[in-house]
This record gives sequence, structure tokens and C-alpha cells, in this order.
Amino acid sequence: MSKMSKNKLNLTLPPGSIDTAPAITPSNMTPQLKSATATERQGLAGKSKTSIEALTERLEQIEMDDTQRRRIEVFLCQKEKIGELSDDDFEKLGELGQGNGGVVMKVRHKSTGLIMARKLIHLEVKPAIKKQIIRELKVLHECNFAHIVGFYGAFYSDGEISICMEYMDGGSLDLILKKAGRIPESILGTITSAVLKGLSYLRDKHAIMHRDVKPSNILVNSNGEIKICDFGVSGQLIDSMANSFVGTRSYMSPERLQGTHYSVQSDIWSLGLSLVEMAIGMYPIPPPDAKTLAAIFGGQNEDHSPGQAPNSPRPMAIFELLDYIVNEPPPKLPSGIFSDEFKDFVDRCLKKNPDERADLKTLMNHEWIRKADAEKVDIAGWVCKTMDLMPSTPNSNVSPFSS
Amino acid sequence: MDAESEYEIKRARDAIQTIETIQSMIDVSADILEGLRTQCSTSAELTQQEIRTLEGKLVKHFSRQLFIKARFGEELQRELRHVPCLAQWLKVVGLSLEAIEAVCSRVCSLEELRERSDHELRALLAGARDEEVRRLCRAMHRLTTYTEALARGEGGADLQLFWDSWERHSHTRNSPRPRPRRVNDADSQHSTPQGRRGGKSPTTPVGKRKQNSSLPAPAALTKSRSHESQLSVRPDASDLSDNSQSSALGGGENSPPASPRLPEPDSTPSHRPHCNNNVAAIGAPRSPRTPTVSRCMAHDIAHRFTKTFNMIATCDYCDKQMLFGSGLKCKECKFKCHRDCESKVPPSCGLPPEFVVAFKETFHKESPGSGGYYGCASPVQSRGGGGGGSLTGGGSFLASLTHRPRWRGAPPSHHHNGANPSPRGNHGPDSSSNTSSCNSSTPSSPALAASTAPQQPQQHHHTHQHHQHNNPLQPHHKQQFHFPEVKPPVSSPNHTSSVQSPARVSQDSKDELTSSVKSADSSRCVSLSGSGSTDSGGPQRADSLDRANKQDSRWPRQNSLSMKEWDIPYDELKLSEVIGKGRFGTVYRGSWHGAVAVKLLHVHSLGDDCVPLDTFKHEVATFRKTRHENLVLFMGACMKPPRLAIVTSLCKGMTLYTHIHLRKDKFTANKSVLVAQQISQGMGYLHARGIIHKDLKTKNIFLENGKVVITDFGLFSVTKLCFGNNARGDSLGIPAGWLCYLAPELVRALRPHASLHLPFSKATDVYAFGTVWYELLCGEFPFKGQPPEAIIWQVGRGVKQSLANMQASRDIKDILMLCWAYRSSERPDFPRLLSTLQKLPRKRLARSPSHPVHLSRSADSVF
Repeated sequence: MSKMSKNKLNLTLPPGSIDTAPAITPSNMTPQLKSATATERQGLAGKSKTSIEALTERLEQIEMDDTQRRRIEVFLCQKEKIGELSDDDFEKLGELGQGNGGVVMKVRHKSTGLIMARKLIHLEVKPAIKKQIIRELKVLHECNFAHIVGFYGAFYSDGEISICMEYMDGGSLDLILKKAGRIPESILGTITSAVLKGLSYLRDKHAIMHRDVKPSNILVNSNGEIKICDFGVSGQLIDSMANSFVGTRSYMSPERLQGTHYSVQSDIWSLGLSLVEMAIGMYPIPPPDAKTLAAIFGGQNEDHSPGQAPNSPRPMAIFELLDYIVNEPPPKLPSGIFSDEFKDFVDRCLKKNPDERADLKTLMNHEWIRKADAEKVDIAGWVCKTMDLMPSTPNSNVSPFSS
Repeated sequence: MDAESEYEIKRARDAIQTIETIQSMIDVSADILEGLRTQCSTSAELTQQEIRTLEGKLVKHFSRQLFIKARFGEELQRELRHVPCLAQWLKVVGLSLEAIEAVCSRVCSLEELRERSDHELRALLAGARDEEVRRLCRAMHRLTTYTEALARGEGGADLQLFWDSWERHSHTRNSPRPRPRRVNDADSQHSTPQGRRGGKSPTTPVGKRKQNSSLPAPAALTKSRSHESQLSVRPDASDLSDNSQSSALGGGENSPPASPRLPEPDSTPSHRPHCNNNVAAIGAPRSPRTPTVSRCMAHDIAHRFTKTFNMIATCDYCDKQMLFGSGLKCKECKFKCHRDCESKVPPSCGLPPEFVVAFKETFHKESPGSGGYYGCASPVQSRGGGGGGSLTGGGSFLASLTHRPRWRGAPPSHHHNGANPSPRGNHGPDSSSNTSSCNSSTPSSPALAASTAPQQPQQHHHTHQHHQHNNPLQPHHKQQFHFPEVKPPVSSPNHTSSVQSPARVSQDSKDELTSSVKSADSSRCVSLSGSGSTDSGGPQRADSLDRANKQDSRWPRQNSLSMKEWDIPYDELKLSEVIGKGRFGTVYRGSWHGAVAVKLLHVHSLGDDCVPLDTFKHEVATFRKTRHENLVLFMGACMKPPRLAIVTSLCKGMTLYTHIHLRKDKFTANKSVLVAQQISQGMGYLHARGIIHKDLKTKNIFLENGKVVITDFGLFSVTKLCFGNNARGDSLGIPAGWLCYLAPELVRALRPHASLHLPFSKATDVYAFGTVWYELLCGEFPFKGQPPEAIIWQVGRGVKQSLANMQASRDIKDILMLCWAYRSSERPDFPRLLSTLQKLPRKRLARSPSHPVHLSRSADSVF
């Protein structure tokens, strides 16, 4: 949940409902809006009943396989035992990383023994704003999907908003990338498929766009699950965040940088850019020269010791980097190393003009994705190998002693 | 054995680590030094002081590296052969690139360079400027000295390690002070007499400087003291002799000396023993209570001139226009004059203008062809004590100071010598008194002063008598202002209270005695209280006097004094609740002689040798210059790390940010204009003072009952001191609502890594003002709701917040567009903004909807 443009009309609406609308073709617009309100109503109803039935009922409508559905049911059961969360309920286990705007801790929920990821965002705001943020975050309760990180709850304590989420033992893809150097195309295919499903779930069921797709917001675990997190549900939260961090890499689409209107298409640019980065093992802007590529893919092209760091980073000012994104040709995958389908997929994502960019639906039907879906890739095995994890049984996080 | 070698290894590792640490400190210091040389005005005293400090530090660092390295075996030394870095050293020394290359091509290490003699260095630098040769020789010498000190295990604390590597311009005069101070002082003392002999005015820059600066000040205080000391010492004048030269004021006898700056009225029959004037000088002016013996009271209070900048005024002496920076101003009575006129200005401090005029007139009349009086003027004589020649040296120094071309005609020296010796002999010591730090740097010993104090009455008496005797000899003394008898007592703030009616004059000596005591006291009090209102406190003046002993140049003294003044001991601060949190620190309500705001800086791990800390001090030193209705009053700072705090007056009211963004108060166009005008006023003042705010934003602007108070100016660079620099790893932390105040040139310079060097300028402040103006008008930030990256790109590209939906007059929008001009040169300065704002048609504004805010409230305007 980070950068996103403010909900222009009314911040208190379920965020994204309006913003994303234009993303969809005009004909979709009305249903889209309706579904958003419907979702909200359902959500409220569901919450008031706090019944699993309502939720599971809705799960039926969603396209998931049995394993996935079962996992979510288990998750919801666990969650039901928890109830309202507060600061005292947790025991710190360690730091998982610095997210945008806050730190993420690995914690144990004392009474249930559940391991969770708790993101703390420092905020100094008036109580009314706090309440609004917590309320906006409640939308997350409704986001139950195989490729969305589960949400336990949010609360405010001591100047900080805490967002408690499902703990993913594999960590985020940027961590994995650091360890692995590069991520094989086949793995990327499966990951992409999962991300696309997650994005379209958010859009279709909740009228939310992600706004911050990047490797660090895609999580994996030793079950081989792939989930996205940190999507912009709360406009107020974004507005209230004291600091934002701008770094050496930006996944923001050209149209967003230019301040023009943007939509879900913007997420697709970000996805495309992330894919290139994960495929070649480095942030692709400015594009690596032939020599660097040769060094990276030494085995295939030239003779270069593969271990050699390909980094020739002349430090770029932030503006230079952004200007490159806006004004220079989009990055692409080097030829001869990846499949044509993959290359084509990336090219379609990385069109600078959002109208020319492929939309979610097209991409989900892309050959590369279909190929990836068909081929059963052992994500779990890869995650465990890469991150030195013990392969675990589903719902491992029930056990307080796992990992 | 093993343990031993292990120990060796560990020792080596530690040493290498130390060397590396030192290297990093060198890097930082060298950077800053470079910046100071190239980006600051090196003629500014503070800058020079900073440069010196850094030079000293760098010498120490390099020496330490050399020293540590020298302790190791060859193997390690070879490994460390690039440490210390020769090229870096040369750069630090202040050589040009070519010279550095030339040296590096012939010498491969600093050690090797160190072995070279001055002559060899000169040869190495063949072709380089003399200045460079000088720098290198001097710096190498410093390095050697300190390294040796290290080797001896001394701290070398009192070594002077700088070599003044700033570019000097021809007018040395401005480059204040004394390079190697001691040397200078010595020089000047020696040289002066010679100069004198030559009949030329040997005004060395040093001498001049002395004159200009504060010297006169202490004199005032001292006077009474000197007086005391005089008496006591009298019997053996010789002791004092070296203090003496000074004393113009104090001089029992030769009051005139007061005036190095006085043209001597030549015509005066020279009898220096104008005692009566002296009396007056001693007692009267300062503490008029002193019964004056003579019929007329004389006024002889030296001005306390300080340099003034930014002042356009006419010279009170010659009535001609003064240019920027060329003037002096008396701290006490605001008398202004050219530096060149300074010497001619009578010691008329505190005299009401009419008197000054009268004074001046007499002066002008008498002065031509003078010279006769010259001798008297010089305090020297008094100090002569034994009349010894060496003493005279000091005296002539003083005289030389006084000596201006104008009087060159008269051969003062003769006169001087001829001046009646007896008074000198007698009174010499008196005048010598501590007093006078003002006229010369001669040391005056404080201890002496103290001890002599009690004897004062007697002394006074004595002097007094003496004066009386002398009096007849000297019909009138032009140097002092003699009050017209009819007139009522002078009413200078300092002495009004004590002015006595002439009746007293006839009192008997006993009375005189007591009264003189009183007068002495009162004068002290007066100066104390008087000082309260000025910058330097009475006590400080006194002790500056003491410090004169060290023969330190004035400048640093003043500096340390000012530091002291602004340094608030942390313990004296009482902090209560937090009233705000900024990027750099937390602001507390506190109390220190009343309610204040205390900004405690978040400081993390400061090395013991921390350059940012110096930067902090440097900046704090600039704040004290600020006094403006629309600027927060800077009261002081805690300078002892880790307790760094800035103390300012407490702003009442709320920030503009709170009004606009939290309370959503609507500002009518008229009110907006009023606020904007005040901001421009405050900022214009700040800029005129050479201070760039660097962080102008609505959060730093308070509104106190309609009055704007700008805070937090110049603090931005302090960030370097503060935690994390807002950067974390390879990303730059961007505080909410900061970006849209940054001008394109700043935004383009943002880098993800720490150590932000942003090119702030006056024009970037103007850009920020534009944003404040926009917030006032629209009630929201420009680029509202856009992510930082988008703002960076757009601002960097020159895209501005659209004003299409803003319903404001063309004039108002024009101001915005001007302030937000992409090119910094196209942005107006604050005076121009102010006049533009003042010209805005009020009526029209009033007619336009009173809540401009609604204009572009919705974010639609963005698109």
C-alpha cells in the first residue's frame, strides 16, 4: 500500500473504485462501479455476521482449485479465533524487512501461536484519520484469494498503524532475486500467471488497482504459493504517511510519472519492468550494454566468468532515471536467451502508451502464460532450494515452531 | 609466541582500521575545506576561521596517519604506501591541479615530500604561484611540527596548524586579522617605531584592524580601573610599563591618547598634561559625578566602532555618503563614519549631536598645522615610566596608529620625545593601566588591575591633584569636548544619571576622593548595564580585556566571545512538552529566561572530530545576525554534542500548514496577500543578510495574530548531523510535502544516496515561496496526490501545477508562475515580489470571491 494517486472524488469510498474505472472499457464502467458497491455491502454484511459462511459462499464464485480453496478456508478458520488485535497480543520474532513507509516484523500471535508479518507504519495523525485508515484497511478482510496475501487485521497503537498479514516464509521476490541472481523463465511464467490472477481478482472483485507492483511486493512461501501484497487500499493511509522512499529503481509507468491519468494499465507496466529485472538479474534502466549482458549470460554468449558482477552502475540522479523511463525507449529482454513468447509478453507490457499496452485479460490469455499454466513448475522446491528452507506442509504456520 | 604474533596482527589490523577511519575524516574535512574555499566568501571572517580550523584538523589527521604508519614494519608500510594520499594532501594544501600533478610526478609519497626542504619545495613548484609555494611550505612545516609533536607524545594542543589557504585578494585590509597572530603583534610592535621614524604611518593591516575593532570598547570600562591601577602602581611604574601603551583613556595625563582616532589638535600647546582634561576624561565623561576640577567638563569617551555592513548612510564626520561595508558604527551611540574618518572622529561617544558638531568644529579649526600636540596624544609617554626607550616603542606604536597622513607634516616623533618628560615619568604608569586594550594589544594584566583596585581612591586623589597642577599649563585641549558651561549636563545614556552639577567642582579633595570612588564604581555599573543592551556584556568586556594579554588577535577573541554568548548550557534549559517534530529534531516548549522554543536535534554518533558539528556552529553563528519582525528570534544554541539544540523565541499561534491543511482555514485573497507580503519581507531580509532559508514551507511559517513569523531558516544542512539523513540504503526518504517546495534544479539533483548536496540558492527560496503562495490561494499542495516520483519528473522537466482551474486574477497567477520559473535566473527576488504583491489591486481582490480556496479544491484541477 504505497504510492497511489489520491482518490479524487472521495477518499472515504472504497479506494480505487473510481480511479480504476476508466481502466476498463467504457462499457464495463457501470458494472464496475456497481460491483464495487456491492462488494462493500457484502463486506459489511459479512463482517457484521462475522460468519465464515458468507465468505466461503463468496469463495465459491472465485476461480480457485480445491487446494487453494481449502487453504483459504483454513486461513479463515484460524483468523476467526483471533478476533480484535492489539499490541499486547504479539511477541516479536525478528525483522523481515523495510517496506515502503514502515518496517515489517515477524511476530507470533501469543494466544494462538500463529506466525504473522506485522507491518508497522509510523503515523502521527488525528484520531479521526486513524479511524478512517483502519476502516479503509478493512477492505482487506474481503480480499481472500489464492494470490493475495491474507490479512489478519489492522490496529493503531502508539503512533503506529499495524497491519497484520499472513507470514510468507519464502520472502519477497527481490530478496530471492538477491540470493538467486536471476530467476529462471519457467518460474517467472508461473509467478506472472499468479500475479495476473491476483491483479484481476483485485480489479474484478474489489475494483482496486495495485499501484505498486514490484518484486518486493510479490511474496512466495515454501508451499509454492505466490501472493501479492501491499496494494493501495487506503488512500488516507498513503496521504498520511510521513515519508516515502525513492530509490535507485522505479517501477512507475511513464503516464503516472507525467501526472496524466492512469489506470490498471499502469500496473501492467510495472509488472513488465519487474519481469525484465528478475529475468536478467538487474534493474533494466538504463539498459545494460552488450558487455554487461554478456557478463550476465556469459554461458550462452561469450566467455565471461559468470560470477563477475555485471554492475557498471554510474549513479543516476533520480530525475535522470525517471526521465529515462518517460523519454527513452522501454527496456526489453535481450534476444537469444529467452523464449519468444516471454519476450513478446514483456514487450506488450512495456508499451509506453498505456492504450497500446496489453490489458490484463489479453495477458492472461497470452501464450506464455498458457504455457506456464500448462507446465507444472515446482515453485515450492525452487523457493526452498533458493532460500534454504525446509519444504513444509501446508498451513505450516499453524505451528509456532515452524521455520 | 603465537599469542605475540597474534597480538601483532591484531595491532596491525587496529592500526589499519584507525588509518582508514582517519582517512574518512580527512575526506570529509577536505570536502568541506574545498567547499569553503570555493563556495564561500573567503574574505568573511567566519569562513577564514572555519578554514583554519579545518586546516588544523587536516594537519592533525595527516600527521596521525603518518605517525601510525611509521610505527609499522616495512611490509605494512608498503601496503599502506598510498596512505596518506599525497594528491589529497596537496589539494588540501590548496595547490592548483597542475601544481599537484607536477608534484605527484616527482614525489611519490607524503613522507618523501616531507623530507624536502623549503628550497626544494620551491623548485618542485617551479612555475606555480608564489602563494602556492607559500602554502605548501607552510603546510609542510605544520605537518612536520605536528608529527614531531605526536612522536614526542604531546598533543601539540597549542600549535598553530593552519596555513591560510584561501585566496587572498589584494586588499589585505579586509582580510582581517592577523595571520600568524603572534608574529604579527610582535611585528607590529617592532615595526611601528621604525615606521614612525620614517615619518610614515606604519599602519600595518594589523594595526589598522586593531583600531577599528572593538578596542575602544573595553576602554570604556577600563577607564576607571586604569585609573585605579594607575595610582597604585605609580610608585613603580616600570612594572606596568608594558601594559601601558595603551591607555589613552585611562591616562591620567594624557587623555588625548584616547584617540588614536583623533586628529591632534596641533595648536594645542601641547602640554600634554592636560590634566584637567584627563580628569575629565577619567571621571567626567564616564561618570560625571567626579568632581571636575576645571571649570569646564570635558567629554572624552571613545567610540566603540564596529564594522557595519549593509548600511547606506552618511558619515557623521564628513557628511559624505558611505558605501556598503565601508563604514564603522559605534555600538554605543550609533555614530557612523567612514573607516578613513575614524581616526579623525573625536572621542565623542554619547555626545548629543549638537555637541558633536561643536566639537567637530573646534577640531577642524584647530587641527591644521597641529602636530604640536601630537606627543601628548600618545599615551606612550605616560608609560614611559622610566622613560626607557623600549617602552617608547610601544608608545610609538600607538602613536603610529594615530598617525595619519594628515599630520604627517609635523614631525611628531620629535615632539613626542620632547614632550615634557616629567609627566611621563610621573604618570606614566597610570596611564598605562590596564585600560587600554583599546589602543593597543598590549597586554594588561588583569590580576594587577584587581589588586590595585582598592587603592584607587588614593590614587585618584593623587592624580587629581596632579591634574590640577597641570591644568594651568594647558589652556584647552582640543581632543576632548568641553562642555559649554552653560549647558546642562550631557545626557548620554551612559552617564546621565551621574552627571553632577558644576557646583561640585569646587569641593574639597576629600569629597573628591569619595566621589571619585563612586565614580569609578558607577562607571563600572554603567558600563555593565549599558552592555546589557549591546552585544557584549560588561563582564565580558572586562575579561576580554584580560585576555588582551595573550596578544591574541582581536578576531578570534571576538569570535570566542560571541560563541560564548550564544552558547546556552544545556542544563539551563528547562524542557516541557513536545510541540512539534521536524525532520531534524524535536521542538519542545521550554524555558530559558522566559518561554522559548527549543529544537533538540537528533544527533547520532558524532565522532569526536566532527565536521558537521562545525558546520552547525558556523550556521548558528549566522543566525545571530538576524533581527526582523517576521523572523523568529534566535536566542542561542547548545553546542555540546550530543546535546545540540537551537533556542528561539516561542512562536505563538499556529503554522500556516496547520491553518491551511489541517484546519482547512480559508484565506481570503486579501489575507493571503498580507501574509505573502510579510513572508517576502522576512525572506528579503534574510537574503540581504546572506542567509538562505533552504526549507521555506508552510510548516515553518507561523501566524501570530496576523503577523508572520518565519522559523527554521538555514537549518537544512544540519540534516547531515541528524539521523540517517533520511536516507536508507539506496533510497532517499522524502518527507511528506517537501518535494513540491523544491525548485527544478534541486529536484534534478536528488540522488538516492545520502550526502545530499543540493544547490540551494536564493532563487530556490523564491520557488518555495511560490508554493507557499499556491497553498495560501488553493488550500492544498501543488501536485496533490501524486507520488513523489511523478513530482520529481514533472518538476524536473519544468511541468508546473496547472492553474487552469484556479480562479484567481491574472496578477496572482503571474506571481506564481514567476516564482516557479524553471530557470532560476527568471525568478524574481523578494524585494521585487514584495513590491509586486503590494501593487496587487486590493479592490479587485476584495471583490473576487473571498474564498479562493474553492477554486481548485478538487484534485481535478491537476488534470
